[in-house]
Amino acid sequence: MAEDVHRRTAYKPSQAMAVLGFTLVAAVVFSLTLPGFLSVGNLFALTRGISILGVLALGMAVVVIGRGIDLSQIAALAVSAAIAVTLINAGYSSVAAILAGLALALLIGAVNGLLIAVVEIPALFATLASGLFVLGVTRALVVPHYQVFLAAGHDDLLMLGANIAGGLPVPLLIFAACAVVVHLFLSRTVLGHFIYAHGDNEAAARLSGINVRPLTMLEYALSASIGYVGGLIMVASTSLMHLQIAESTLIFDVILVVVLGGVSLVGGRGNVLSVVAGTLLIGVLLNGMTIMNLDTQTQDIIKGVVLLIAIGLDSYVHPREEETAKQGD
Amino acid sequence: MSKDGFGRGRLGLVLLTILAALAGGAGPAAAADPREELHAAFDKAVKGKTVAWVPVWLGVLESEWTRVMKAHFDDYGIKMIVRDPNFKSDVQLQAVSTLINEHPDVLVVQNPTTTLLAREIKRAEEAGIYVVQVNMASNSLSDAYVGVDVPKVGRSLAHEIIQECGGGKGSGEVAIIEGEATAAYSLDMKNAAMAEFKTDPSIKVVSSQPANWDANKAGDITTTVLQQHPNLCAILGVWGPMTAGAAQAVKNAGKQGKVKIYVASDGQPADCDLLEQGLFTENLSYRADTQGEAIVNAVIALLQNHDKPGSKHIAYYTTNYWVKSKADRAYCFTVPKE
Amino acid sequence: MSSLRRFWYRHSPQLFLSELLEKRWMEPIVPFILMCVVFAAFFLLIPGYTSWVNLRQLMRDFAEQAFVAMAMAVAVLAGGIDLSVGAVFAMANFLALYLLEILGLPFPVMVAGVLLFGAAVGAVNGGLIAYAKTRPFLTTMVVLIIVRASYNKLTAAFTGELASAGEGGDAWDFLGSGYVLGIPTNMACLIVIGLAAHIFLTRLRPGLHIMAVGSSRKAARHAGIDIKRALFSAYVISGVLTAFAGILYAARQNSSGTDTGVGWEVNALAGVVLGGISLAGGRGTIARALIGAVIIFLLINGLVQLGTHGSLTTAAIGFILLAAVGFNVKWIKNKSKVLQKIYVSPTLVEFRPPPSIARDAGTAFAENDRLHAAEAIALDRIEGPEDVILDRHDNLYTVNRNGSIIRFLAPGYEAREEFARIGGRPLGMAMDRDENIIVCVAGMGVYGVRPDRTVFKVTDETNRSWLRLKDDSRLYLADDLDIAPDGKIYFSEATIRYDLADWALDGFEGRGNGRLICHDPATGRTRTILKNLAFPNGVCLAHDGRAVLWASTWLCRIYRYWLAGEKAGTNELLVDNLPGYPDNINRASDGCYWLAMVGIRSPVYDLAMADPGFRVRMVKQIPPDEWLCPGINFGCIVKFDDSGTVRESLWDPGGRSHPTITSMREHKGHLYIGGLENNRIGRLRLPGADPDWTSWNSYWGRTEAAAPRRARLERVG
Repeated sequence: MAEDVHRRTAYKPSQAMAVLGFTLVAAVVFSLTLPGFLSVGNLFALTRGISILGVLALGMAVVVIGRGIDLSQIAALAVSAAIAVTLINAGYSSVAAILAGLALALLIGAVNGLLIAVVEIPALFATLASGLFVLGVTRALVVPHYQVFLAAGHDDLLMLGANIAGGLPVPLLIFAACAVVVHLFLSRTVLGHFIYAHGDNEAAARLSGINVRPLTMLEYALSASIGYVGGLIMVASTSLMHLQIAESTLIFDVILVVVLGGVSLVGGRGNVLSVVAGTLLIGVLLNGMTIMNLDTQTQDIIKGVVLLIAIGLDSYVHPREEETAKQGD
Repeated sequence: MSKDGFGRGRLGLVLLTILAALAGGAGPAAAADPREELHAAFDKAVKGKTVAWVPVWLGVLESEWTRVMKAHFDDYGIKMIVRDPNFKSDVQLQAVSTLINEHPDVLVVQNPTTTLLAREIKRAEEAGIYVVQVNMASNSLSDAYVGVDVPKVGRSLAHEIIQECGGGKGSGEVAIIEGEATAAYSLDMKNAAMAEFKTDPSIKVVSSQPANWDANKAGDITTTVLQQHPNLCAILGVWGPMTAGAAQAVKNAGKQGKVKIYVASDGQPADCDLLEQGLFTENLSYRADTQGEAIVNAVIALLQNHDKPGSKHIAYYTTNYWVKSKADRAYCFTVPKE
Repeated sequence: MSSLRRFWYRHSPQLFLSELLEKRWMEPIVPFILMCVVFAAFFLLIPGYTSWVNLRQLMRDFAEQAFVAMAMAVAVLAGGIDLSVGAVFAMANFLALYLLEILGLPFPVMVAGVLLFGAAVGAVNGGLIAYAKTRPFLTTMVVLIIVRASYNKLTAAFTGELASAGEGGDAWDFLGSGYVLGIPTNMACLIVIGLAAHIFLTRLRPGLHIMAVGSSRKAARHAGIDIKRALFSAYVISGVLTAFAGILYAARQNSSGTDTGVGWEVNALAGVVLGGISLAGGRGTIARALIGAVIIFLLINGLVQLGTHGSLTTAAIGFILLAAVGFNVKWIKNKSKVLQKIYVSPTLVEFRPPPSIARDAGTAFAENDRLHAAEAIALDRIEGPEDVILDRHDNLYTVNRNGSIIRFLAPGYEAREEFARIGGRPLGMAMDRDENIIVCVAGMGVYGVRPDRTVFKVTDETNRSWLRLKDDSRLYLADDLDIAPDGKIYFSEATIRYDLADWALDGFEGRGNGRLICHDPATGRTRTILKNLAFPNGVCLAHDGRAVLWASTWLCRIYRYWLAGEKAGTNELLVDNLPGYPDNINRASDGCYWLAMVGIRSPVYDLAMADPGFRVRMVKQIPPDEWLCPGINFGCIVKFDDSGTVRESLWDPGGRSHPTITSMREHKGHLYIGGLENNRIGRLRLPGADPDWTSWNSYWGRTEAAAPRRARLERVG
């Protein structure tokens, strides 16, 4: 028993800290070897590049902490942002249109939660299929050509993707704001603690009186709506929304960022710092390799090998008891 | 058989009956008239024939082709079948294989790669089906190829950039935003442009990265490139909507107008919009609407020539049009409200 | 009307349904029906859909996806997931083309090389997951990214060479466009390998290990399974299957495009889940993965053939997947509940009023106190002596609840020893010519104990009745037995629908769920003689050995099944309308038969038996404590003769010391009494009975061949 306590109090770097350390090492190496890596301008470029990924990862983290996964996140954000843009183009006020998009994102998320918690379809499958469904319906009814351009003259919305004084990118500010809000929500509110409890042990959470079904719906609604914020940044940065991003591998990147920093897929582990750490690592790697003008494939291979090493190291540093490990992890 | 196809088929039948009645009414006296004979021969060759059309999917470009083709084929009494594989090459292959078994008169395909449909195209011609390939050619030549001359587009865009940035007029730094590294369209255009750039030693291609047709990715790449090369003179984008992300990145970096953006375009309205907003500098449009007409013409010609399928290979390279100002709006098509 | 009613209850659809639900192959019924519906729908909508040309086209287009779905299924069944299949598939496709058409290697070398590549990627996945203990989802996802990127790089580098590559040779063309017995080659491969994979996972040790690890790692480790090796092998198999799909695809398409294999891992996963394979691992079959894959393939293919717009295809697929899996999840979850609700299916049993048992009735059944005179043997030293038997040396054997045979030594029956331990719940006993004790064991079958106490199995299965859904070849509840002079063992199986503990439920059904079975030790064959019997219980050879008497507990009847003579093979009613529920039958010294009455009929229960609906409601709606049960708080033994006439009865009113009597055995002028729930064996002196008569002599005493036979048997054993 005493030994147990001792072991628990001994310092062991959390996965997030380890990833941050690794990021720092990579950044130092790039600074020394790549001209132009270490400049304010490049740092802003770097952070701008990963802001969207970071925001999406925050949303995904909420679900993953609740021991779920949301493969429909990209589809949901693409669909709701595309519909918001369509409404704006049709002459509705930006605010009304954006709120309508938000409502749609919340609805998609809530329905996901319903399918998972009430109908009890495995999360992986439910979100996969629901993503296909919303995508198909939206394209059939609203966005026939998969892409919708924001009509000219909506600079207020475009501001979300612009830079402010000193070249500070607005997406970075949004990412920071989202991170703070999600952090406060997860660590300071009852619902946040419930989400951890839900992810850690669903049966125990239910038996101790948490109503896990609405909670699941909330988690997925949060994932979709935080994703929607990322979608708005996409629209603001490119002035268009192309539904095909829902079929890209972006969702894998999001999950990777989430899990890399220590938000385990078994649920109940990790926090916002984990997400930030994972995002930064990917950002630094991608930025450095873009400066080196490596092609995407080489970038992916290098990224993959680094990740594989990281995963291996992690399981070496944090061995898990495989017999009690939850399945589908 | 689709509902649409059925509807069209029935319409064709009705037209046929009416025309037959008219022809019958005109009587044998008219048969001697060479103009009438020509018309009768045309009707005989074309009417009631079936054209199957398999694009890679029904995007903006393909929808415009489909719209134009359908309008003309309906007019001629040709039945048109459309299969939409939705960007899945294995599904597209399935669709083509099945269609060959159904034996239409003409098969119109858009190849996603140079090899995917090569075997099936041969098989179709052996089965007595005319094959028209659109925009992206396969390794198997077929009766007709209709589409853009991709290397020419690359050369033209590069030439224009050299005019603007080369010879000491600008920094000479150029970035290329590719589509997908392995897509023939993107690869051919890039290679042709690179060859053209080599003719001017002052031009330096500082970055050539694939953005996988994704505007966000194009934006990220552009942001980083601008960071590394603040004096960038021009960006060459192989596809309009993707390059829109790059254009926004240029705008956000406060370099709108300083960094010129040249884009290859299929002529979709958004490309003209972006040009009018000043985000693009110049578009080279290959005009999906006129391409659609070219496809129709190829089909009509094949049906009237009565050559054995696979015996001749005819190309219809479509013309490209520069869009440089609002006055060139005509070179973008308009998407009709559905 | 009443005959209609009888017919209805006799062939209850409820019974059929409950047996259907019990079948394991009913688990994937939802995906299976969906598959049929999808096929039927396209058959109606698309002209020429079922033409041979189109069917062959469908098969050719399907095979590779099926292989990838199988690969995913193996990983999922092992409790993991393999997201790298799509990329490995694409890479294998490229490698096949590269090795064969660019490097010009011979066909077998190419196949070996590509399969080796698949195994290598599988080994990386499996090595990391099994030995480095990384997480499957993440690991295979990263491997997916790496392999995919390598693939893109390689195809870009070799675009030109691939485009102008030459022919691959005859074997290559055969693989890509040939036919085996009219079936496309790749489909033929799928059939063969699919069957092999099924046998591997369900019959062979390494495959079973994979399933076991997927079901429960802890249990698998406790069973001594090498978890790491099983996991590792699962991923290697997954890689090899995927690589094989890549070869087939390459042979068929001859193309290596940018989107080859993109999203195939998602389709495969969707197929696996749609087929009803649990993502938690260990539950599912190869066939289910294939059903799921077929559905997805047919849907996409058919919708495209219908000319559907791509957006609607996507939406329809999403919706159908959600609806199908949602329904399936609910089905799997509630199937057992439904089964529980409808399992008990009572039938109609119509009784006449029984003969009176009143003390002053003057019938043979009139109540008396004769059993009160029984002395107690082994009081509180035995639990549930369902049957008792004595050997030639007067030792007393009985069965115990804990699965053993207990012996009480003559003459005092004070010394108690465990004679043999069989397990299960031993019930009826008999002694054969060689003085082996043959015993029916509930849940196990028929077993024997030699005089040297070794236990051997007599039989545990019989022939299956093919027209019944339920597999009744195993013995569920062997109850009592007897041995004919020719050595054949006749035994009853009370019911094939319930455990011994649930005998009351079988009583509520009153249905013919039992059977009379014969085992011939000479041939080792076991055959069912009579089936659909209502709780056949006691079995006794007639004194002349020419017939078997057996008791139907719920019908309160004794039947006689003729073994020899002109009526051989016929079954006739011997005693009808007993006032109680008959149990074991044994020979009496005077040429009659003793019959144990396990319970006494009551008018209210007889009424309930005439109203199946009432019993359905009773079982469904009220707790078991409140159920109306047969009256068993009586002790009664009756004696009847070969003509079916009941001679006398012995009573313990109120069941003070001998309630629920299930057996009795006459031995040297005494009657030894056993009961299913009793704590003692009763011993009652029978005045006027032959004091030298023993049961063994009655069966085997007339021949003196016993000793040499036993010696021979022992030599053989």
